[in-house]
Amino acid sequence: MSISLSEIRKHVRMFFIFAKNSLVGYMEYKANFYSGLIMETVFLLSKLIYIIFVYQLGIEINGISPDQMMIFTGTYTIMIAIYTGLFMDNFYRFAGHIRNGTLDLYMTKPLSLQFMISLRHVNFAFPIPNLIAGITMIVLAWQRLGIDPSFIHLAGYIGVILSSTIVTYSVLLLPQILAFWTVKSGSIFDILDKCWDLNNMPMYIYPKWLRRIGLYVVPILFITNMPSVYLIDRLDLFLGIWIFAAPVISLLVVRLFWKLAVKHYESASS
Amino acid sequence: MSIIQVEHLSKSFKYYEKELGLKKSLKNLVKRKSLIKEAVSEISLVIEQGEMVGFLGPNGSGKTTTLKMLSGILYPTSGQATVLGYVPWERKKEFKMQFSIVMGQKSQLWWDLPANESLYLNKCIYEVEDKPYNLVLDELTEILDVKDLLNIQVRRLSLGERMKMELIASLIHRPKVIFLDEPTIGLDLISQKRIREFLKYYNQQTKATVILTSHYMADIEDLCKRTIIINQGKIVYDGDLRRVNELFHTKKIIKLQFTDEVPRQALSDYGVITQHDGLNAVMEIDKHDLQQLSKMMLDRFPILDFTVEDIPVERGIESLYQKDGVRHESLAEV
Repeated sequence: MSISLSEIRKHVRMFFIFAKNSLVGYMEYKANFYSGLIMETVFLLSKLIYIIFVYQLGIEINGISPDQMMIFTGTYTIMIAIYTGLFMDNFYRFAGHIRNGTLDLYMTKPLSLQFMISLRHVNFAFPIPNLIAGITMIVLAWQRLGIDPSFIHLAGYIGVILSSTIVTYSVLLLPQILAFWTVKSGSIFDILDKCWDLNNMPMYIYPKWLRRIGLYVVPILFITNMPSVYLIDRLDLFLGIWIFAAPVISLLVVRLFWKLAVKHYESASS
Repeated sequence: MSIIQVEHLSKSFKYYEKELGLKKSLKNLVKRKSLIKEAVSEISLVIEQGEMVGFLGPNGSGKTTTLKMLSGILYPTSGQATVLGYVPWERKKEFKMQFSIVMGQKSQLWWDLPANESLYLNKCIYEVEDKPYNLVLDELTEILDVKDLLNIQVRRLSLGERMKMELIASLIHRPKVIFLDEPTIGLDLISQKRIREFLKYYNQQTKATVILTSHYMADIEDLCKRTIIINQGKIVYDGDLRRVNELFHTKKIIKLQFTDEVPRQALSDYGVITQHDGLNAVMEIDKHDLQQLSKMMLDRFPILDFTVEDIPVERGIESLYQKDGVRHESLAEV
């Protein structure tokens, strides 16, 4: 698994070309772009309504104040923006590449196959409303909670978001890889999709055993909670180390699983 | 110098059988009967640099599976192969930089973008410098006559134009080995011919080694001196195309349409009748007697329409098996 600097540079460059191509492709279908934007905005508003109710009632949940709750919701919304922008389109198409055999041609290219399949398309419509709403909530809650707006704090938060992004990629890609054996993976994807909704609320509302599974075994709760826990000063030493360890371990696991799966690729009939 | 060496290469696939009906589907949910298909069986071959070799065979004969193994897409079940000194299924970057595969039924172009965006993408993937890229692009678009189409969205191109773009995209890095899997499938005759002319020119200019699979006889006939015929996963012929041609072309098919009914017995003197319904007939006659027999039939019968065709490639292969004594059970699926 040797990675040279020039290869990393090449892949970063390729990512931007993929993103550019996706954007050009998006602009070809204006109606699709705007309808995606509207759909996601409506979806976001429906989610925000009950958050507003919780906020107005001023209920504390396991010591989490409504303002702190807004940090969780804001982070959740930002993570949705990242997921829908970078990964969703690719993961939805994943099993199709195997079923239709389009993976064949990608496989012969001198570029990481995993990279090409999982980061080929960037969605520009879905993330926009989520990103705006998420950042707005974080800024508002940040002010109301009187969190020191220092560079260190901001850089730390962005760093944990980055760590969560890698965990999101790994946790949601892992079940997709099963498609190499099962060919269709819609149901597996749906299960993970529902699990993702566990991030809707702070992890403190869940029983300890579920929290532990969600943080350390299948780190789906890691995604929204870690950046928020960092901001509201609830981070202990163990969780601090886990912020660095989880993305490395999860990425390693997904990479090894990928390599194993690709050996089993049987291609579709021509 | 041998560029491709294959020894006893085999590939088996596991698949499941499902009989008709919902009940059988429910049964399959619990227990499925798995079967093994040997797609490629113990094939061995050596291909030299600059050779243009045709893989010929009916559907499901193992042509594409062989190409997929040689391009590293599939792992073989057993056997060995090297291409340019590399084991293909190790999928090393150095190997990928030196070969290309074109699949007639699969596209590498971005559907919603102009072709030049996909070509540029391949330039970056294959790390081609600007100058050689522009030179190759100019040359290939000129020869294939698609210079004016570079800025048009791929989805708006015709099938023939798209295939030309696919070829350019695959050749942008000047590969030393090119695998072409049915590059002319679905194209009209003129487009097929143009693509063939281009491939011939490209092979002569670059001395690239080319393996071409097709079940269009004309593709192989035009381009390849050496033909490898595969059926049921086995190589049944490897050699000079002229010898295969002789076998394929000893007979011709004549299709006749009559204005009045002609009895079967009246036609049987002229050749082997393969289809007959009174007003229509299909016959096989010896190529050497074609002119004479045609004239006789035109004089004797009330013929409305008369067409002469080559024996289909599958029939030619069948003749080849019989002549070489190669055992095979049935060609019913051909």
